[in-house]
Amino acid sequence: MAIFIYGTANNTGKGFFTAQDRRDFFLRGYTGHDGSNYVDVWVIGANEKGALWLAEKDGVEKTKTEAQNLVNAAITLAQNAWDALSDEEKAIQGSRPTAVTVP
Amino acid sequence: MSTYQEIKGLKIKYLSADTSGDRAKEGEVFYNSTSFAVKTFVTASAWHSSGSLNTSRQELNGAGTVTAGLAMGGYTTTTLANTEEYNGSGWATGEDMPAVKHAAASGGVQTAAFIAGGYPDPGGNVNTYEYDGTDWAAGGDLNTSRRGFTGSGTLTAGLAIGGFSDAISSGAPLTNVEEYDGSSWTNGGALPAGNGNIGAAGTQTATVAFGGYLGPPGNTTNSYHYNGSSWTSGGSLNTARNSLGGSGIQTSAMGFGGGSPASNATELYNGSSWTTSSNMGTARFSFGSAQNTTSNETGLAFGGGPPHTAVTEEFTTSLSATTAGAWSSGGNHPQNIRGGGSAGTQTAAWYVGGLQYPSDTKNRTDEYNGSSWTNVNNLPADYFNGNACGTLTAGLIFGSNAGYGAEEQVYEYDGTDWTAGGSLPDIGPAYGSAGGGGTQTAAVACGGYGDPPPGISTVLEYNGSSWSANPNSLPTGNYNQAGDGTATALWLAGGYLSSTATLHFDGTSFTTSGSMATARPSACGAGYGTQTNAIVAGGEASGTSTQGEQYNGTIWVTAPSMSQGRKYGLGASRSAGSQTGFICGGATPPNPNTNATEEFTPETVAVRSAKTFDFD
Repeated sequence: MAIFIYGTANNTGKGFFTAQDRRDFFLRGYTGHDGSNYVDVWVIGANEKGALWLAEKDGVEKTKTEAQNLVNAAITLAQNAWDALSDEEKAIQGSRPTAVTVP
Repeated sequence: MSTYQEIKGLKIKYLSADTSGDRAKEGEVFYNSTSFAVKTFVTASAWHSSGSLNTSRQELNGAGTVTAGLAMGGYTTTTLANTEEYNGSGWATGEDMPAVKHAAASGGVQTAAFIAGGYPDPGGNVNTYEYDGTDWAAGGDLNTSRRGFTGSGTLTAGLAIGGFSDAISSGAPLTNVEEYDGSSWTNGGALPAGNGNIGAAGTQTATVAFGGYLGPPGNTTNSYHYNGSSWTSGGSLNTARNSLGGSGIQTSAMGFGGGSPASNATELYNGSSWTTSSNMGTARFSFGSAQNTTSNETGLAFGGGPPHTAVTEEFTTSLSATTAGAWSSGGNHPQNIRGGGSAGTQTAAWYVGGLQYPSDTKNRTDEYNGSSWTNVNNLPADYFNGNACGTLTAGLIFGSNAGYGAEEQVYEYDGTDWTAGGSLPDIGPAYGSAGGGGTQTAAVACGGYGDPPPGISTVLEYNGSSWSANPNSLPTGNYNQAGDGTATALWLAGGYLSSTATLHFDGTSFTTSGSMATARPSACGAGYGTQTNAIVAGGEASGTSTQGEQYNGTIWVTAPSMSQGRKYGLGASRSAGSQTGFICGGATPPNPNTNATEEFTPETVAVRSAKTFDFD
């Protein structure tokens, strides 16, 4: 059995995930990009409550590869934006975004 | 029909509601006339995390109790001589052992302990060392050199059980048992079968030894009772394993963890049979345990592996139920934000300035009511990466990063408008990302970005109208610290130049407190709470970690994780006065900034519901 479920779902804010949700299943969020818009990518513990949570949030299940590709696209955009900054702005903005690997 | 009084010889209380609070007693029977039920309270057991070892390691030895424990030796990539003492919440470094040891046998209490055998000496090691709570001294030599064995009992009435004579391979396990009187070892009754890495609990004349490795084909569920001269069979474990922890006494013992593979299983023994209990949070073997507890109601596990770890867990049994703390989603900020000022409580707070997108504003103000953010009157000037404190109706921001606002400007918020406060002295672009906290009329700013970096050590205090220099400086110049509290009870943690350190400021001088387990060089805004009840999350170098840590004024322990990693100029409910609060915004790789808010609900402890007797 897989350890995680991968999916996209728009973080609508208050109530999107509750304290009890966090006790019931693993949840980790990442920013992704689908070629047109930024999307919220979620890695969810693969149990019944985790699966129900994604369904209730009108989420779209992805494969791990699809989830990683969404995150990679957002990283590329962030790196391109950082590269275009002046040296002064780079100092303020912090280090260049680096690759993120979803678990 | 028999009555309860006829059966038990006791009357029971007739109540309109369940007993509650301190009046709840385990096993006391009462009748609830509202729910028409006979009820009682029962205890339950669980593991919870505690302060981590200062030195992560496996194959270490343990002794003592859950309020006065001892960790000795161990192995990482090399064998260690380290000693640490546990006080019920955290570990302090003790004197190193005279020599390195791992996979030894041990017993006793924190102020009168022994450790014997182990290796790295080829062919095993017969040395025994004794600890008095301060110093180590040499004890008597074992008769049989060995490692991978187990101890029980006390310094003056100890026991060493089984093990391996071969230094490297598992070999054939030994049946040898030796008894210690505080100065010399004598042979005791041999085990019924050779056994290595067996678990044990009890005294020299009443020990239970359980599990362990018998040689091929492997681990056993057997347990044995020792009476000071010979062994007899006891009840069988439910799960066969070796290198497990043990504590308690022969008639009230517990066995936990073990391997291989690493297990988190916990079993309780009543002198005749084993029953499963709550699992440890971290599965592991070859760890240390506080062996000298008086029953199976409490336990302590620390270190172990693989890979080697510093994690410490305590086992408790009580009438109370603990609900774990957790982060939940709060209302999304209208902007993607980073580096603004923020303060208040979870249900009444403000966030101002910083890098805000879209529209690239640096002076926008929003208020939070616990569920949503509302745009209110903006700041008269830009502001970025300063510090903030106060309440929704008495807020304060100070020390903007130069180039994104005048660094010496100070603003006060009354819940409607921002007005100018007393300016900071003009010492150049040095205040950005300073640590600090307090109130609108009594605040403190510590350090700052510096020009050029690294950070400065200047400490300035605000009285509501003007700033004055404190004659004492930060021990080390720093910036990007997390911090909160009052001008006379402030805490600072992490920061770019001292990424795990914690400092207390009492209005006069700084003292060093317990270090965080995680380096947080970008922790500005990544924490809130008081000097004795605070939490941090995020602020690590990568920005991708979500791990939280909570602080009790002395030590940091692992706290629940946020859902999303973030660093650089987080917003937080600074001055909230407790761990109930929020963190918002910040840089969330790969996206530059986020609008997400996460709210923390701390752990709660409450008396369990009374159980109803079922007479069917």
